[in-house]
Amino acid sequence: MQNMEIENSWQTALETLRTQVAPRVFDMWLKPLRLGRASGANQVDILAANDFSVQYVREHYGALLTAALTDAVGQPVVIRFAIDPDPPAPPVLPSEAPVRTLTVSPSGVEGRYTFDSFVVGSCNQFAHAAAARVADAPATAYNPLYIQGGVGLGKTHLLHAIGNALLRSRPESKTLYITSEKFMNQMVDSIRFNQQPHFRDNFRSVDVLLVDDIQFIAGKKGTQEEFFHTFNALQAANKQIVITSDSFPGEIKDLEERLRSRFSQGLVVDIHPPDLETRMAILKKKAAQDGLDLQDDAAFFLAEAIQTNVRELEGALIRVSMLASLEKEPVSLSLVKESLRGILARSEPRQVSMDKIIETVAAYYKIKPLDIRSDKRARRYSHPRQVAMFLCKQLTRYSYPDIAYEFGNRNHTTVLYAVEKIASLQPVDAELERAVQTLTAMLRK
Amino acid sequence: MISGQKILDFGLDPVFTLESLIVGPSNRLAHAAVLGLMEAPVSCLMLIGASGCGKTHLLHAAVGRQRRLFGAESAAFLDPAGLASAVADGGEQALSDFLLRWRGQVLVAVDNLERLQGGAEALQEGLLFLFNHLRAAGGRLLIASRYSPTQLEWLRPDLRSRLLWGSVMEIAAPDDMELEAILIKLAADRQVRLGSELIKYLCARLPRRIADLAEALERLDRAGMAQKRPLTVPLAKEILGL
Repeated sequence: MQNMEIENSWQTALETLRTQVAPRVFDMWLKPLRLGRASGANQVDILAANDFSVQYVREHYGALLTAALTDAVGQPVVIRFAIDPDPPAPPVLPSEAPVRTLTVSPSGVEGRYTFDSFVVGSCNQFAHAAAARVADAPATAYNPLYIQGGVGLGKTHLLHAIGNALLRSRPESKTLYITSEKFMNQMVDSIRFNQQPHFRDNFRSVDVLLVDDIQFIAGKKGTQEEFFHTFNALQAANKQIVITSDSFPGEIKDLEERLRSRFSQGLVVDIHPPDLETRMAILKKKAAQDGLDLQDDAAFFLAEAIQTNVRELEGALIRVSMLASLEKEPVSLSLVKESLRGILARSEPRQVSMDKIIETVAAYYKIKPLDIRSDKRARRYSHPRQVAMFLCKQLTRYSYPDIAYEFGNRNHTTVLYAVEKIASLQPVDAELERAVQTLTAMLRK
Repeated sequence: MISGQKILDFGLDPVFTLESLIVGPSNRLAHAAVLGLMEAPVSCLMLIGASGCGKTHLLHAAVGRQRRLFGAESAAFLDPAGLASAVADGGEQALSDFLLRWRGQVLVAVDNLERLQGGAEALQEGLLFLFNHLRAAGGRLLIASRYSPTQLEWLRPDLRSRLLWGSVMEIAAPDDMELEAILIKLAADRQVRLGSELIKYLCARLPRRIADLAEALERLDRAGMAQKRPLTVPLAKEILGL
């Protein structure tokens, strides 16, 4: 046989095998095989990466391989399995490149969060308008501006957007974005390293201070004290302060009264969860930014599935995009559904537990769950017990020993026996068949 | 405060590498996501799966690889106990220490998230701040949990929301085919060859947890060597009491 000929036959045989075995088997064992040399008229070497692959493939797929190759060549072929002296290199790890870090300016403002990338809806239009006004003319109208909104609704986005607008329109003025925990962190550091004057100067010399998630200073006395003085110093100097929080000033527990009243002095605006239309618009905009082709049906499914939180909506879209790239598939409705598996678990039934099975079977046969776990031998107990064991094997992924343990630490062969018995009786015992079907339906509900 | 790191940062099991992990249908996506984590457009990756499905292995492997590529300070491995001792009573000093400690880290792995339940509120707050810190610095948080954030009802909404911002990958329990492949791989690692009859026998009877398979195989192998007997079904019956 010519080399070209046998190489073609080998590819044909592989294609045949691909249709004959499960995809995972093919990928794991058959795809990595290589064609060695053809010796003599009808003997071919097939090379596997190592000793145990050779053994495994020969034992499990030797006959299948021989048949496929014989068909492809058109005459009987004998396969000799051998270890590949020069196995293909394992896939190269993709990320030897340096870690990509975000570019964060000394201002702490992240460039990607701008007014342009913010989707305005009826849920956030007041907050958006107030933020835009502050960015336009800081320290004139609303000071402080206090933006309240639930988790993941875009407060941080607005804060950065103000920062970005100011950095562009007034590059000479000093804008600083900080989370309240970082404020705390820097304050504690400054005490430790005896740099309190530096810390104070740093915060009291800014023109615009953007403080995210102020609720985290609740209960932190030293931080509140320091923030109070910072706040006063900035206000006295007519500098702009913008604050975000998940609660209104009056609702933050363990917040000093004097801070509470100061936070309420300016304008307090709130952000509500977005409506469906806005959620769709957010998804479309985000998808367009990421160069993702998101069809209406998929966007609608996502927007319906995640109703209360823009951040989670964004997270869901990121997962879809990652799954699409890992699976090398386009973004389809089914891919979107797949990506939400496990995430939507709040509304989906969890995998049925063995407890639940025992409880349900006991109720069905009008006995106590304890009777099922006991070793009473009377048929009115032993039969339901065997049904319960059978259902545990059918409806969960537990092994025989796991199930045996759940049923009062029995020998696993008892479970094996029960499962086989119920399986073999079902076709001939109509009552048992009905019981198993009813119970399965009840447990899957 | 730097000396505290030793207490928190558990040693990595050198056996747990990305190369020694058996990749199959149940963990293929999780494995790929861990490999690409540092380049992914997310700050957080959560691995969800039952006990024994290989979550800790992936966490150790990711941290180990990061350290090999970028130095010992570039990654850390924590479990809830480590997190607890890091944030202590939630006081300002403790939280500040905690954040300072991880300043240079670009990958922090946190194992057993479900065990945060019942812990002090400060623990969740510490994790939230860690997330914020890593996100601002361009780092990554890698979390393993038995349940998804939506199932952990006690999780603070602001933390849950941040975890769901990132990627969440489920690892299914291995099926029969994978279990066999894992057993063969574990045996090969020990330079042992198992007959197909013994493989089938063990897979049907051992719990579907990789750790249990490895442990059973070790006992079997040692007994075989000690008694100078080949590894067979009768020997497995005798030694493992199956």
